[in-house]
Amino acid sequence: MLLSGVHPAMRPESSRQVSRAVRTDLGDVRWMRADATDYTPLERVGRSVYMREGCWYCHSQYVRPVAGEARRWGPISEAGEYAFDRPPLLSSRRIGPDLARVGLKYGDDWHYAHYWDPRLVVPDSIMPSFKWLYTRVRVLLHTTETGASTMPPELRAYFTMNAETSIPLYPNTDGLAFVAPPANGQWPLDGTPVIDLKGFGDHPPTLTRVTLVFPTHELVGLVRYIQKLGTNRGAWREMLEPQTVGAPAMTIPSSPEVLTLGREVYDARCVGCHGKNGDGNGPAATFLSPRPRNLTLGVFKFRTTPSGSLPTDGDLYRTVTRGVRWTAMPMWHELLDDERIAVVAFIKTLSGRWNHERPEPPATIGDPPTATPELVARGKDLYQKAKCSRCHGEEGKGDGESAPDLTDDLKFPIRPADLTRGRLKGGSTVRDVFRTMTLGLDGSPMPSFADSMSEEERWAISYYVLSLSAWKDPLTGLGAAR
Amino acid sequence: MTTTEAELRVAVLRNDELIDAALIRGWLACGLGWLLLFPTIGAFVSTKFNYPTFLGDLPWFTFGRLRPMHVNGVIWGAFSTLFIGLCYYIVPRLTGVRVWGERWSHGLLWAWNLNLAAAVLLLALGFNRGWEMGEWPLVNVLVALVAIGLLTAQFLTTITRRRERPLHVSLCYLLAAFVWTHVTLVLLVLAPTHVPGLDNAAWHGLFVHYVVGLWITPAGYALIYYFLPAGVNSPIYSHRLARLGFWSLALLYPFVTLDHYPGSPLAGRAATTVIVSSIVLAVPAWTVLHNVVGTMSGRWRQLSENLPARLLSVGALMHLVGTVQGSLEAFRSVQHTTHFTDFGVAHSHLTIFTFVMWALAGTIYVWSRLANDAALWSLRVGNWGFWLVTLGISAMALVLTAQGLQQGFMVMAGAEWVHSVDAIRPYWWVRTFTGFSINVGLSLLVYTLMQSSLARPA
Repeated sequence: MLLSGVHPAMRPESSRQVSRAVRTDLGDVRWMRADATDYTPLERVGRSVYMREGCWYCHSQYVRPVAGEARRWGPISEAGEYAFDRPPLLSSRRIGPDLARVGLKYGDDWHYAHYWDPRLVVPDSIMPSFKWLYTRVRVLLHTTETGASTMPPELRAYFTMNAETSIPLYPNTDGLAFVAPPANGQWPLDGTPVIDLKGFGDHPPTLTRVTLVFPTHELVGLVRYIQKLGTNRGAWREMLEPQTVGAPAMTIPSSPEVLTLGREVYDARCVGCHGKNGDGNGPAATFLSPRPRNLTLGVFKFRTTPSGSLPTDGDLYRTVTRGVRWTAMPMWHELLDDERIAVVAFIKTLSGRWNHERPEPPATIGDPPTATPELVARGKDLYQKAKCSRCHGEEGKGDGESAPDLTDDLKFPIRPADLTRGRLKGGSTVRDVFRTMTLGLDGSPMPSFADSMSEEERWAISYYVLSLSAWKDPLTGLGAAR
Repeated sequence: MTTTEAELRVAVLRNDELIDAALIRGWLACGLGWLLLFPTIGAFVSTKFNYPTFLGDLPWFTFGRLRPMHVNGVIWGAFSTLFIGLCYYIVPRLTGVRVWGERWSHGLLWAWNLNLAAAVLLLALGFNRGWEMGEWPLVNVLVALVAIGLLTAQFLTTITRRRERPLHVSLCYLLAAFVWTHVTLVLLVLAPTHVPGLDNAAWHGLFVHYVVGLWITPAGYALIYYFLPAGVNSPIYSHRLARLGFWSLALLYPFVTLDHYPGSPLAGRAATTVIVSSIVLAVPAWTVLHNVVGTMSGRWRQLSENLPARLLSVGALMHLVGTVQGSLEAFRSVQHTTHFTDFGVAHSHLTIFTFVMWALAGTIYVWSRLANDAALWSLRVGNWGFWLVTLGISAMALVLTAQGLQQGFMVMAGAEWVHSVDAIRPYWWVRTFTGFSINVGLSLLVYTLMQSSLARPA
């Protein structure tokens, strides 16, 4: 008892101290000593659900200093991270992956899909479904003279039924439509729900009824708790090796063998979200916002090629490898190279665009200038002048006046990035931001500024954009305690 | 000095007057009932690995709620109930006096069973304190603590009043088990919600190994050191060896704690102590096997007809194998690969099930004794039960060890997570099959005992 119980309690590491990765004003990310932060009440609700449902029987919560774990999951666990856990849920078994660093790996939407039915997003998963953490409301669809269907009274708890605002809901083929909770967690959502079948393209199914799926308070808490895990270590993901992969110059053969392997990988990993034929309308898509990419269009956000062009093979490989953080697109860096290469070759067969077009040559991006406070200040100035705040907001929170009405090329609602949390999907080095500004994010309202701004101006804004998340906690967007 | 058959007979009959046959049968019957239920829940849990939608979408039957039911149930329901019943047989016979405070014992059985049933219900409803092997709601832990307290008072007092002065080694082990378990249960009451941070995990590692090493293990040793000599009519080969086992267990087991979380920020210099002590744990396990071999020497033929002796002997071998496997697991180089895999599950099943087999052996022996040494209703059915159980647990341990190594090596080599899961799917299927085999075997053994009771002359 003395050795294993009392003695560890006397060690200085048994405190709240952790090493936290923090972005500085001038764009780089440094490790600093900080104190771990406690759970919010809602996160505690979620933690109690995690304990109750026995998630800890299959998922561990510590990263060991053993071959490969740091590369696979993230930084080795520190004692201070467990300061507020009574009890810590370290677990002794990994039937599923470790969760010590799962926070902010995916967006909340992926988690809502995952707990409804894990096999939607991971077809080979053996995790149970947790459907009792959701509320289901059946709505019969029939058109009245006004063209709308009658809503059951239970929905008034979730929607204000304000006729001026419509809230589109996109059901999947099973007639399931998920309703994401409001950002502050307080129902009702302001507006009237509208069933929108545009996700099905030209061939919408005839649905006579839809089941609306709402997360319970407990589920919202669970997702909050999960997203908290590992965030005491700050912006560590910026330095995770697989996240820093660039777009290699590669040409992938499309031989029958490669395409067969590619199809296998696609069927085992991608169909749940991207759909069997790549139209972005898989069964999980109803949970996800942003929706999975419609691969049949051949339009991609993350490229090294000029705006309007197809991406290179290397661009697709990079996106598959590093995923798109904070969305439902996972990091596939653990998959063997052949599998990632093969799936890229297969993805190119999903759109006819590759039949008659080739990607333009990638844009050359020079070395960034050294960051200085003056350069960042110039960037701030330009941010206002170029009216970035109209979408991204005055402080970069993604709450600009145009933000609520933005739609992508397919007319699905799309939100501008919250720059204060460092949520830069295309990559968060200054070169990545510069590239995004130069080449735009095709398919989204983010344009290319190559013609309207000089290189020097774009570098300045890039540094300013990075500085918007300086010293801030990636989870809360608030100033990190130092 | 030899004892004549007649004198032996008289002694046995006098001892028979000291025990409460109805009480013992009550505890054993309940224990056998729990023995049928909780391992079956285990087989259901195992089925979910290959069929995740097995038992549907109801929260009460989800993996996270059935698993603690199984784990806590086999420890406190199956093993402990049988053990306590067997204590009511052993203690009077080894002390020469009736159990003190007998009038509480029947009530205690009721309370014990109600507690187990309540725990099953509460676990199904989702009450879970977050300590593996210690999930029981506080109310159930408190009832168990009071029960253990009462039992300790009963047996301790009985032993202090004994007529047979030298303390039989089974009584040493038995007392130790009861006394130590107070510490374990008090720890379980206080620690999960009161100790902050990683220290909580340190205490948890302590707790887990205390339950296994300071309750189940000495309890099991108490059983084998009584029922093997009794079952083959031959004294223990070496009491000294048995006492060595006792002291090495007492001194070493408390250090085997951080084994539960190797590689965590907890492990450090203390981990080396833990690894060394877990290796030396082979000593007590060896003393048991050595004693079994010595006691059985020249009597091996009896195993073909003597089911309890067979269960005890095979169990002793399994015990050593399981313990050594655990020691191997403790080495840093091994646990880098095997921790978090089913290798650890193989260890826990192989070791705990050994004690269940010993409790079963004692139960079969006592069942027959309480029926005036009537023969088992069907040795053939009993044999089928024995083989299904033994082959089942052996196969389970082998399969889980193999799959633990496979997944561990794959993950170390950088395999993608789902690839490693896909690779061990077939092993899980075999594991479920072995689990059901064990359950069928246990059912056959219980059935045999049941029929033996029914066939008893009035």
